[in-house]
Amino acid sequence: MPQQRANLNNATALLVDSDHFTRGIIAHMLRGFGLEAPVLLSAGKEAQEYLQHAYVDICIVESMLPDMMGTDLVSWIRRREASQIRYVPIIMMTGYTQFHLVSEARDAGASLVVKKPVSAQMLWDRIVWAGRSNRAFIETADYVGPDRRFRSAGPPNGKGRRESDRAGSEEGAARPSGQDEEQDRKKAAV
Amino acid sequence: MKQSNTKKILYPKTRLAELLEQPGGVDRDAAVAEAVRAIETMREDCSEAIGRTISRIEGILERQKAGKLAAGATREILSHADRIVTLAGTYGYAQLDAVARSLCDVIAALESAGSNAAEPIAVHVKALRLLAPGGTAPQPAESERMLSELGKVLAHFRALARPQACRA
Repeated sequence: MPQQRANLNNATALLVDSDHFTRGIIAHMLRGFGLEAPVLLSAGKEAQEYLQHAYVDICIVESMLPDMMGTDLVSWIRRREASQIRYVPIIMMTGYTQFHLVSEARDAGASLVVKKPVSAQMLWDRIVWAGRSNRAFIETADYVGPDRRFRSAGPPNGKGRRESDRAGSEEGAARPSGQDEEQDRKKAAV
Repeated sequence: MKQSNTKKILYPKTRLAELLEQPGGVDRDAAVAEAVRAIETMREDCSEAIGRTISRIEGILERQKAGKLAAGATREILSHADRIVTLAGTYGYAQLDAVARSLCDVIAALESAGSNAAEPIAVHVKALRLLAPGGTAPQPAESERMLSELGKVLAHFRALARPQACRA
């Protein structure tokens, strides 16, 4: 099978996680992928302040931040109407015990949800998939974010060694019903 | 009041999509290998952090009275256990990882059963201490037996939780 080649050298990332060690591990992975200097923050308010004036190519957000839910931060990003940041791919990380938050994360507009611990394979696959997937961006009164019913088979089902790798991959194919999506497109007022 | 059902469907091009296709990229395997090399530099710090995190849980348990957990203690323990799952999983401490997950699951079962018993948590924390990097490293057969016993503890509290869930 051909290797999946990608260039992340000039990409920028924002990582928001309250745990010092998780931030360190993910930041080291990102640097290993070629991202020069990921921005590391520990709270939602800090992230909001940072994103008022900056653009990043990918956001990685913990589901439970000390000052707000990760879903609140995702919703805030998706509703930044005057800024391109609203379209940025957002990966939400949940703790082992918080995977029940997956549907809330999806409804807030997260592009993907993964369960900690995140392996390097899983993170690479999710970032590359998030960048390359031609997923529609939906704006309605109730929801702003990537199409939750998309045709793609979802992120690659990487052969991670962890149970959590498989759990994370579930998110990709939220509801791979191409027919529904086609019907929605026809009905929608673009 | 009539709700607006306006729906916009956009196909925005992100900068990430453009950057990924620029020349000079790397293969997935090479990128992953470099990332794994990078996180290996943190192994020692993270292994020490596992020990410190277990100490924090032990400290919480010591403060409990009459074998009962005070309100808020389980949440605190859970956040420490979540960290151990992350660190043990990242650095391949498989048995430690299994015990930490079992601890998270037993806390969830205790909460569902409306129990504040500290003992099922304490027994997990003793196992964590044994399996932590720098611990006494039990023989594989001993570890398996320990995990099996912890499995029984978990099954017991899950069984207690089930009727509660049915009543709810």
